[in-house]
Amino acid sequence: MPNLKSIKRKISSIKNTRQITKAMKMVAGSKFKKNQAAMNEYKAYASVYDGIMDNIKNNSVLHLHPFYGKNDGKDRKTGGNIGIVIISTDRGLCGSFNINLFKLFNEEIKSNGLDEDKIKIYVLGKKAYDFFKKNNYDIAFGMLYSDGDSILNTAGLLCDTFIRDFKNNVIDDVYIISNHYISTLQQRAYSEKLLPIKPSDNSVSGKSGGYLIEETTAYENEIIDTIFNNYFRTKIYYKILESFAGEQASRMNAMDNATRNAGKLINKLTAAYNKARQTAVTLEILDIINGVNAVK
Amino acid sequence: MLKLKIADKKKLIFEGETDFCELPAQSGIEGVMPKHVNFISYLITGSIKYKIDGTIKEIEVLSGGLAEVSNDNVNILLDS
Repeated sequence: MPNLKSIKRKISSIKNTRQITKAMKMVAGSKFKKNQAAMNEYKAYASVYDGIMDNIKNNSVLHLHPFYGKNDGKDRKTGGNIGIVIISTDRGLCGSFNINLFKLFNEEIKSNGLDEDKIKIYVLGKKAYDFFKKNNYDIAFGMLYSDGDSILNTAGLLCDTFIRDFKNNVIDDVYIISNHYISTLQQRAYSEKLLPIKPSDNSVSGKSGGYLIEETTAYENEIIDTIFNNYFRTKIYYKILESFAGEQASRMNAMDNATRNAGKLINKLTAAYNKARQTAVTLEILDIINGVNAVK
Repeated sequence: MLKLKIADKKKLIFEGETDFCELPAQSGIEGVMPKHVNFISYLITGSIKYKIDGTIKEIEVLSGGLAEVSNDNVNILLDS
């Protein structure tokens, strides 16, 4: 028979846990609102920039730019060096948010038949950093949000690093894996190719032809450079904001589930406790009655 | 008709159709009408003007930006 005291202790400990998860849910909720607002504010800018890039991408004049495929075909199959950008979180307790990233990472490696020795990792966030370090991947860039830099700076540094490596032929392709925010209840890990830029196959929009680039003192390629660089910054920055909002949403759900499960467990244990107490009382009464009968 | 889209880092400022718009480009004020040649330009401080239903509206550019015109689409990003 379970010990009355031990059950009682368990109940009170679970009650404490429930209180903590409840508080964490509230905290995540308020942070989520802030992060979501920041994400929504930036959304318009990012999507207009996406539109501009879609138009520019098909411009045949620009195809000589180094950001367009310079490794067409040859060493692609045998697996050139590949850079993978991963945006994770600093803290845990947010459900499967980070695990999904790692799962997708492994899936991508398998489905594309990539050579693990040729992968360079560009990582943001402690969770992914620890994961890749533990698995002995080559981490070319690692940064935590808690390092104190603003997100904009962090995004800038990350972009500068992988763009420089790409231009210096250290890596031949760049992919990004991050969490895509769909709704409060749904975030999905998502992978996307960043570099080299591929002109879309859609021949209808491919007609857009040449661009007149405003004459400035700067060389034409430099203008395009800046536009592309800023594009990646904007993209990464938006992805970080998305990841932030998703993290808090995911944590909210995880903590909500934890609170609910704790409640269920408490009910179960309380029932067990009452049963055990009742059994003890019954036994005692039986003892007394037996004693009385013996005396008679 | 031109499809005009203006956004800054806080919100989408304007999205819609217009007959004419005017941009403070780096090399001078640039007027854009339908069938304008495709171009990319940085913006300097000044004001963007666009015409809807005969009235002209104005948006101040406080600190630079980027404009892209292609196939009657005008996309403008403001840095502020």
